[in-house]
Amino acid sequence: MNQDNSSIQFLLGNVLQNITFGPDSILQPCSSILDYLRTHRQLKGSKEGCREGDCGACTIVVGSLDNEGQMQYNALNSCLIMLPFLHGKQLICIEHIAINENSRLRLHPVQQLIIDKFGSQCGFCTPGVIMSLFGIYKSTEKPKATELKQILTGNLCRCTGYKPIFEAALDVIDLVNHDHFSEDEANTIEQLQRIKNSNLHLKTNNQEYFRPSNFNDALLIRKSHPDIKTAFGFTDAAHQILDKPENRTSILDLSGSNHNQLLENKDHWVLQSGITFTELRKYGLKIPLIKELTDVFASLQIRNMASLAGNLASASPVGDSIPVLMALNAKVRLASAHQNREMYVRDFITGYRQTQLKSNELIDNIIIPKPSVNQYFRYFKTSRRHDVDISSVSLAAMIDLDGGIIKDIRIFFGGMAATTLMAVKTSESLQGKPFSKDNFTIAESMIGKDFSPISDARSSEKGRILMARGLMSKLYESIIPKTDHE
Amino acid sequence: MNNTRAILNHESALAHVTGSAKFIDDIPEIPGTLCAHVYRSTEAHARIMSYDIGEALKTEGVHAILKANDIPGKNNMGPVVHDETCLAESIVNFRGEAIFLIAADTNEACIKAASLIKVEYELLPAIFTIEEAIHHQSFFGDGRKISCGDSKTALQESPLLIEGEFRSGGQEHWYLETQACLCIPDENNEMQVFSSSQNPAETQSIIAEVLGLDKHLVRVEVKRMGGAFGGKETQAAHVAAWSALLAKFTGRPVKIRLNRRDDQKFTGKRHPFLTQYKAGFDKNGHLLAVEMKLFSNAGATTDLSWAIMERAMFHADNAYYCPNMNITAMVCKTNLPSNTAFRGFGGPQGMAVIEHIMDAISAKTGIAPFEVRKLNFYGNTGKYTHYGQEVKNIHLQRMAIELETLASLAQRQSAIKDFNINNKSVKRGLAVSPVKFGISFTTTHLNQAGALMNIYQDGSIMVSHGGTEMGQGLHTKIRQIAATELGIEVDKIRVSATHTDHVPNTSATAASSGTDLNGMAVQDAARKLKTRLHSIAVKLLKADTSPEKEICYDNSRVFIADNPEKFIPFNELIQKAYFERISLSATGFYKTPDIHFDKNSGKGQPFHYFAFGMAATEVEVDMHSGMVKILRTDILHDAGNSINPEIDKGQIAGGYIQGCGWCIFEEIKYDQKGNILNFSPDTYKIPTMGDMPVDFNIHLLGHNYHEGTIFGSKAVGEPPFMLALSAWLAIRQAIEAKAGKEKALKLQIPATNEAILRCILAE
Ligand SMILES: Cc1cc2nc3c(=O)[nH]c(=O)nc-3n(C[C@H](O)[C@H](O)[C@H](O)COP(=O)(O)OP(=O)(O)OC[C@H]3O[C@@H](n4cnc5c(N)ncnc54)[C@H](O)[C@@H]3O)c2cc1C
Ligand code: FES
Ligand code: FES
Repeated sequence: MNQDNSSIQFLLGNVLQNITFGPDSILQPCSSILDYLRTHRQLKGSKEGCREGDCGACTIVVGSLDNEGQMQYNALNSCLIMLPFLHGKQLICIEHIAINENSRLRLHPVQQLIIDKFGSQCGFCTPGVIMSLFGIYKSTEKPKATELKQILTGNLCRCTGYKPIFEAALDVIDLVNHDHFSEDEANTIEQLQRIKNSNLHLKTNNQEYFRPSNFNDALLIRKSHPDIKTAFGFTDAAHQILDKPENRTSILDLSGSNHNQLLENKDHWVLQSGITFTELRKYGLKIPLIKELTDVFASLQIRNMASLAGNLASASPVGDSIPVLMALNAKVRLASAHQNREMYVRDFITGYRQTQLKSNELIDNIIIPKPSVNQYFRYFKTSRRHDVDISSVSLAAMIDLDGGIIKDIRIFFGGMAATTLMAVKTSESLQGKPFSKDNFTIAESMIGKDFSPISDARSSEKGRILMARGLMSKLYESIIPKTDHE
Repeated sequence: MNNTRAILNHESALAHVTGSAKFIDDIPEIPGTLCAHVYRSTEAHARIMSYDIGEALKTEGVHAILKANDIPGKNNMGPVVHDETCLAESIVNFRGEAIFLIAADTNEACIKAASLIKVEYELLPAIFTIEEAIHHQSFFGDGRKISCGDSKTALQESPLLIEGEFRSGGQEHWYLETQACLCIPDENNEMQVFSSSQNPAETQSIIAEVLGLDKHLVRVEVKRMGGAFGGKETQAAHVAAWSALLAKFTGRPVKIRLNRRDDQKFTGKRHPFLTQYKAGFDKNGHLLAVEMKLFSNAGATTDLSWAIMERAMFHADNAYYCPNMNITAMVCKTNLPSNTAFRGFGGPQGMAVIEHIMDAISAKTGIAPFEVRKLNFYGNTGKYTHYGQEVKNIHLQRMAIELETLASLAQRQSAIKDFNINNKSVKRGLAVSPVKFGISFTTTHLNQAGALMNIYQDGSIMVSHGGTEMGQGLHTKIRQIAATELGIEVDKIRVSATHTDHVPNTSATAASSGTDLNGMAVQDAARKLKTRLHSIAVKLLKADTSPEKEICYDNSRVFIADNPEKFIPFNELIQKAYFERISLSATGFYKTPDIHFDKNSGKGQPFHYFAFGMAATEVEVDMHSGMVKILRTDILHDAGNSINPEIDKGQIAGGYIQGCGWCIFEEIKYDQKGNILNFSPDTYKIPTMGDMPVDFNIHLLGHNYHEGTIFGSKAVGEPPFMLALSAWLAIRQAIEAKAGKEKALKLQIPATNEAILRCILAE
């Protein structure tokens, strides 16, 4: 095992912080960055609007070194992220982006834009909005104008109707990245490089927190601590962890384990479990299929933290990746300190938020077979709101077409039962049949035989059946050439 | 120099963007400040048989656990009717009603103590829906009626008739800053209160009554709110009363800030409405008679429900003249947290029904929806409302013409027709809807405001007024008004936090009236000061003293109207005035003239004026998922002679999008037992930037000075909310293109994707 470290080092703005955890620490390692800033540092600019990753009022930007040793900046929800995540990184919050020059305040260009566009009304969402804009400003590849709305959906504003914020964002993408952070970048890089990337083992009277720097050490910790709460991005787990003190006595944080490579061979893609949805989106160029998934997944702040493995392991009936991976016939590889095993994703999930994962195991990687030319993969989700919404019903399908005949078809639905399930009768009714509207209409009518969904906060039972039928029509229409529409 | 209509940024913009703007939770805590927790009923309707707080009291770090009989004053926090206890006595009337208050050193200790409290309930029958309330005749008060003409006969004689029921849903405010209050006990029984409240004076009253103190001992300060939208008009007083009680008992500062989930679960929302309607009209589309019976779901206490219902009744006509109307209303008492004010205040709920009727008339007569609406606008065949007020300065006809051009309505309607012929699975729709919104509190005595203006020796000025800042830009406009009135730079004007010590007995900042009322009061204060400065200015300018010679204040100078070259700087005048022992502090006051309303006859002049608006919205609806995309919105709005056009446009954009949330996907769901199901942003969805219209154009109606208001401006806070009805109506158009008029008419509010699918696929 790597050397353990009982302290974390990071830059707060441009000032190096060193926090050592010991028996008497008041500050606990399993504290959200938001609480750290507001309660322990009295930096009250970052706001708490929800504490569950939805509103973005707590948005911060974290700078870190990429593989080439250059700075990269990500906007994140500070309410969901635990303090040790900052080890070796630079934490930038609203208090840092304007500077005092000869006792005069020099605003950051993104701040000036929000003022000029009347982008703040009550001002409560504003610090978060500014930080998201700052994240765009600092991004090495500026987003296109058409992508901006999607990037900013993680910042809720109840006052402005977004118009002025959007207009400010349009101007931000035209700005040249030159601010006091870029002026100071060489120094920042040097300081960050000096921080050793070691295993963190942070122990106080109340908590024990592990953040290993590689995957094998994570497995060893899993082995020796069978009851440990494990998380990667905390976007699903933070709830339980922050709500109840007893859930944070012993934590394994995988986000430092550097297990985020995309490997590829002739027949498969192998995604290591530490790949975030943002990375997946980037890889999307290499895996066209995955684009369908990442396009509809959460907000930028969440995608920057959330992992594919976390989505799979949470085994939610409405998790976006699950029907996708099932339809793709993906396998999951589980690792423990002693042995590994592989199984189909559809076998891995055993019930509502239940999987085959044993207490000493972790998801090592996810293996996706490459589809052949005749295979069509589709993913659709129906939700109440377009963006940052969990699906009411989702459909993933893989169809093997041979001269207009459906050779093989697998249709999976999320949101229709306690887990994601294959629509067996629906799929069977299409098997071997010509790909036609009539056959799809027959198949649609089978959905009621495959599922009897529940009514809940998102949709009613009847609504879900209607949505599932609608998704079947979408599936049909997305594959036939447009001119053939009914 | 003229500070009106200037591009003047939000007064707090710099503080907002740097994160230095303080909200309640950002105020540095005094050491010793206690955490608090509200122990709430887990039952919707029950008798408290017994309770035990003994173990809880022993929890380490707990300082106090209070119950109803610990309250030194009155156990009430009902703002209008005193039917709302601060802490439940023997009966709980909704799930989440406060029973005990806990103060402790840490949040953990509060939670621990709460978990040790035991309460035994005897369950009582509970009702949750309007239908159940009607069935059980569970109402607040006896009902109300506003009518004109003879609707009964007119309906009988109408060539065409429609009738039915229409529903609109609730809405969670989702202000970004949840309810919060910090109370600091002070010497001599004083209580210092920092509240996130639209109504500091009422917060003061309720705290004083609950604590059994004279009001002057309670000092309430409101710096700003992180959004309010009506949700902090009465219900901010709850957390205030609770924290004041705990602060009083422990002698320590106490802060209560609801977390998001508790705020969503336990505070009031927009009232859901059910309306039974009948309408008669002729084949040319003219509305002849309307009868409506409105029911609202008020929840467990009265709160503002009757005022909200009244406004719904006043707006059941929206922009349309109808000679025979009969509007009756009942407010339903149910076992839900009490519903409360929300932008529009009943207006949206009333207007939605008449807009539905307009669509139905269009469907029956075959006349295009917008044409039917235009036919029936006030000003064509009549201009008196059902409550007898004359609608003056009607802009509707002019707005319709201008909007047709601005939004290229004719071309786009035909393009949409083509699109819909060529596309089966997505359909588009375009609809226009008007808004006529009455401005004033309908409770007449509330239409008053006060201000305090202090001029310091250096010529800088502090203004305090009764209005509160919740993002709407009120303080910014007040600065402009004061600066314009005194002819000095806005920088020289500071608007202080709203404070009950500065201006007493104020009304809530609500009913869109913040600038109308407080702006006038500030102007009054400034004018009083100018009157006091008159003689000394005349002396210094060595002018002749004939009263016709007006003294002008402009460009930080003071001079005689016909001789601007000969001036004294404003700050010199102030210096001199000080040495001449002239009082440089003045109060201002304003009451809206000529308004009255008689609740018994249902007649009067409740509004100072009407604000108008019109919006054209085009949507695209996915026929398979029911999901809606707003493609383009053009709004033409009447803000009078806007004091700050950019701020007004901000209100319009924000109101419209918030309205789209209500009309489209914001929906509050309960289970059979009255448990709210979607109490977090995970399942309750407000609009994101992705829901903004792809093309979003906002125009203010030009050349539009309105007599009798501050600088000729008009209120703009609420009216734009209702412009979003055009989005809902556009969705109907899209559904009609797929499934026909009859199914489209079934779409109510909210038009969620599920509701849309149900309409399309309805048998
Ligand atoms: C605002 C918001 C929006 C969201 N939107 C969506 C959405 O659109 N679609 C959607 O599907 N989900 C959504 N989610 C849910 C959540 O973000 C995802 O499930 C996410 O993928 C979880 O990843 P994570 O890395 O944060 O997991 P964590 O929260 O860290 O962990 C989740 C679970 O996975 C386990 N786990 C993590 N990594 C491993 C591993 N390597 N091996 C074994 N177990 C592991 C953890 O033990 C835990 O039980 C949203 C959440 C939020 C807060
Ligand atoms: S507080 Fe809402 S996302 Fe963090
Ligand atoms: S400005 Fe109020 S929430 Fe955005």
